[in-house]
Amino acid sequence: MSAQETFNNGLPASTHAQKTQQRNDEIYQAFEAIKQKHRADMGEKDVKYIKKLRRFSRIFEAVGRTTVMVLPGPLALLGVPFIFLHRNIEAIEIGHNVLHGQYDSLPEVPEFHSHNFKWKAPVDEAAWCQEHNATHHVYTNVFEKDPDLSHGFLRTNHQVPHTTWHYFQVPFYMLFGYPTMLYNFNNQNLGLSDKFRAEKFPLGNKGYATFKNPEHLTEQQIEKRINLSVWRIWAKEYVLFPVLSLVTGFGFWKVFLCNALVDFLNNYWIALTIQATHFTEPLQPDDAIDNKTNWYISQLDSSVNFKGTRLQSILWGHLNYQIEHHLYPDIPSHRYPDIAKDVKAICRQYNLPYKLNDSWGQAIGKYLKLFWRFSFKDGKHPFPAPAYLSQPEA
Amino acid sequence: MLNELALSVSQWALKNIGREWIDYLASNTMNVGTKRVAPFFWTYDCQAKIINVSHETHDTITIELLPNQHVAQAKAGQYIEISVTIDGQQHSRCYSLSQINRETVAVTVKRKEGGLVSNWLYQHAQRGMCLPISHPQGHFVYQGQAQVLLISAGSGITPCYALLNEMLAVEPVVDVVLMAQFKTPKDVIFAKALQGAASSCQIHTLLSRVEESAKQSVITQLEQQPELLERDIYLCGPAGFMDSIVDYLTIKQYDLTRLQVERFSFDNAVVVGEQCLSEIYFQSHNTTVKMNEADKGKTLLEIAEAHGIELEHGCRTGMCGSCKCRLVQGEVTGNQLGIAVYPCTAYPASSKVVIG
Repeated sequence: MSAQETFNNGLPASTHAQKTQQRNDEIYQAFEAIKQKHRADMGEKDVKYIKKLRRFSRIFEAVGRTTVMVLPGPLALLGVPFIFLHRNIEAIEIGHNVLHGQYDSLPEVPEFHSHNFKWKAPVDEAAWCQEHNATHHVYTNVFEKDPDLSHGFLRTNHQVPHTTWHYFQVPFYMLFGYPTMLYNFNNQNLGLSDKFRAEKFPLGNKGYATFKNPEHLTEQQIEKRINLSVWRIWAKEYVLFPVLSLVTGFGFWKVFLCNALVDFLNNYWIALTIQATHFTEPLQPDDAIDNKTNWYISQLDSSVNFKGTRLQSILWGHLNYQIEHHLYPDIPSHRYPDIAKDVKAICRQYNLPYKLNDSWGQAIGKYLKLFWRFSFKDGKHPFPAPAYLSQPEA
Repeated sequence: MLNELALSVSQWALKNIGREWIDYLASNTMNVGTKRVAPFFWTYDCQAKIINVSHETHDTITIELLPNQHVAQAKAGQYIEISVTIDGQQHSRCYSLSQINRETVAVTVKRKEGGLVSNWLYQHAQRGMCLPISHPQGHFVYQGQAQVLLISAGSGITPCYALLNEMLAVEPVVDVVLMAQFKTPKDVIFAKALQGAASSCQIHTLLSRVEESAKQSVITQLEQQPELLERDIYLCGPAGFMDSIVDYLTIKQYDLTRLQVERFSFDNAVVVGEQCLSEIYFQSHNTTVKMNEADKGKTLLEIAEAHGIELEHGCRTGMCGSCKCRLVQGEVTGNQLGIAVYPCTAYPASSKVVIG
C-alpha cells in the first residue's frame, strides 16, 4: 500500500501492514468457506433446477408460439409474454449462468456444460466467455481493463476522455443501444467497438479496455463468427416461424412482428438489468487482483444488488444478486439468495460495504442519474465513494 | 432398412453439407428430440459409423469408418482409440489408421489371442454400427524427407501402409522403400495392394516363419542392401521386433534422430502422485504434452503454456472459473469439482491425464 500509511495510529508501518494483511486473510477465509460449503453440496439439486428451467422455457415457448400463430390480429399479442419468458430464461438464467460453467461439474447434464452449450442469443459464446468470464469478472470496475465498464462509447466515470458523442449518450443508448443490447455484445467481444472508437474519437481507445484477440482470429473469421451467431436467432425468429405460419395459412407478418417485439423487450430487459449493477460503484485499483486475498473485497466493492423475490430473480438471471454472482461466478445462481445471507453476515462482522438497492427501479434511477451526469465534460459522480481497497484504514 | 437409410443420409450429409455446417446446425438445434432421431450428429462426442468390414487375412479385418463432425482430420500414420462395450463395460484400444479417404478412415485390426477388443471387433463389427472413437492422434507422420524406408512387422504394417499411400500420392512421388515382415504367407496383410504398389516403389515382403531356405527378415534384407540405411526410417511393429531393429541400427551407427517409431503403451492412468512426469492429452487442442523435469510442480495451465498450448483462462487463482475443463481420464490434485477441473490451480497426478 502507499506511502501515506508509513505511520498509522502511531504504529510502525510493518506492524500495521501485518495487521491489515491478517484481517484480509481472515476475510478471504470466511468468503472461501461459503464457496467450499456450496461446492461440497453440488449435485442433484442443481441438476433438477437447470432441467426444470429448460422444461418451463420449452412450455412457455410452445404456448407463446402457438398463440401468436393461431390467434387472429391483436389477440396474437397474448402470446408475446410467453415467448418473452422463453427467450428471457434462455438468455440469462440459463445461458449466462451455464456459460459461466456453473453446471460443468455435473456429468448428468452435458447439454449444460459451458463448452457444449449453445446460446439462444445472438452472441458468439467463445468470445463472450473470454470477454465476460476471463476479463470483466477478473478486472471488475478496473479502469481501462474492464471492457464492460465503458462499452461502445459509454462514459460512466470522469476518467474517460469526453467527446461530442457523449452529450448524446443517454438518448442514444435508450433509443438504439439498449433495444439491441445483445446484438452489440459481439462488437464488444470481437473488437469492432475498438475500431469504431479508434476512428471516431480524437484520443481513440484512451479510457476504454480493448480487445486482445486471444484466439488470433482474422477479420474474415470474426465476421463469420458474428454472422453465424446472429443468423441462428434470425433464422428461427424471422424466417422459420413466420414462414411456418405463412404456409399453414396464419400469415407471415403477425408472427414476424410479435417476434420482433419480444426481441426488443428481451434486449431492453437485459440491458437495464446489467447496466444497473456496477457503474454506480467505485472504480477498483489497478492491482486489485494481484493479491489473491483481495479478490473477494474487490468484487464485493464493485457490485451492487437490488431486491426482488425468488421468481423475479430468475427473470433477472439472479443478476440482482450481483455481489454474490461476482464473488462466486461459477456457483449455480439459484444458490445466491442463500449465499447472500452468509455474505451479509461476514460484511457485518468485518464492517465491509454490502450495497443493496431497494428495487430495480431505484437501481435504474441511480444508474440513469450517473449516466446523465457523465454526458457532460465536468459531470460529477452523483454517489462518490472511494474504493474500499484504496482507503487508508482498509 | 432404417439403419441403412440413416447410414446413407449420414454419408450424404458429411460429403455435401460438410463437417463445419453440420456442427453449426446440430449444436444449435440440440434437444431431446433431435438427440433421439439422429444421435450420430446430435451428440457432443466423437463417434464413427462402420461403413464396411472386409477380411484381409484369416485373422485380420479392415473396418472402414465414417467419423462424425466432431472428429478432427486424420494424417497418415496416426491412430485412433476405439471404444466398445462388452458386458456393460467400456473397453478402449488404439488402432493405427490404414486408410485415409475424404470422408472416411479405416483401421485394420488383427485378432489377438486373448485380446478383448480385437476379438470383439472381429466377431461383431458390422456395417451401420456406431462406435465412440477419439481424435486421430500421434506423431508418426510423414515429415517431408526425400528418401524414406518404412519398416514394419505383423500388424505394424497398418500405419506404414497409410504412409506409403500418402507418399505415393504426392507430387513428386517420394522415393520410398517398404520392408514388411510377416510370419507366414497367410499372415500377409494388404498382399494384393502391396503387389500393386510394387510397380511404383521397392517393396520387400519378408516371411520369417517358413522353412529355413525361404526365411527372410528385415535384418537379413538390410545386410544385403546396406545402402538403405542412408534413408530416414519409419518403424512400427511388436515391441521385441522394434527393440531388435533399434539395436541393429545402433550397431550400424545409424543416426537415431532420423528414426521415427510408433509404440503403443497400454498403461492406463496409474496414480503416481503429484511429482510424476505425466503425459497430458489436451483433447480440445488434440495435443499431447509429455512433461519434462522443468514442468514439475507446475499447474496444468502453466504446463500447457510452457508447451505452446493456449488454454482459456482468467484470474489464475481458481476464482473466476474461465479455465474450467472436463477431466476425461486420469487424476489431478488441487482445484477440482466433480468432473470439472480448474487447470490454473490443479496439478497432474497420474501417468496419463486427459483434459476435455
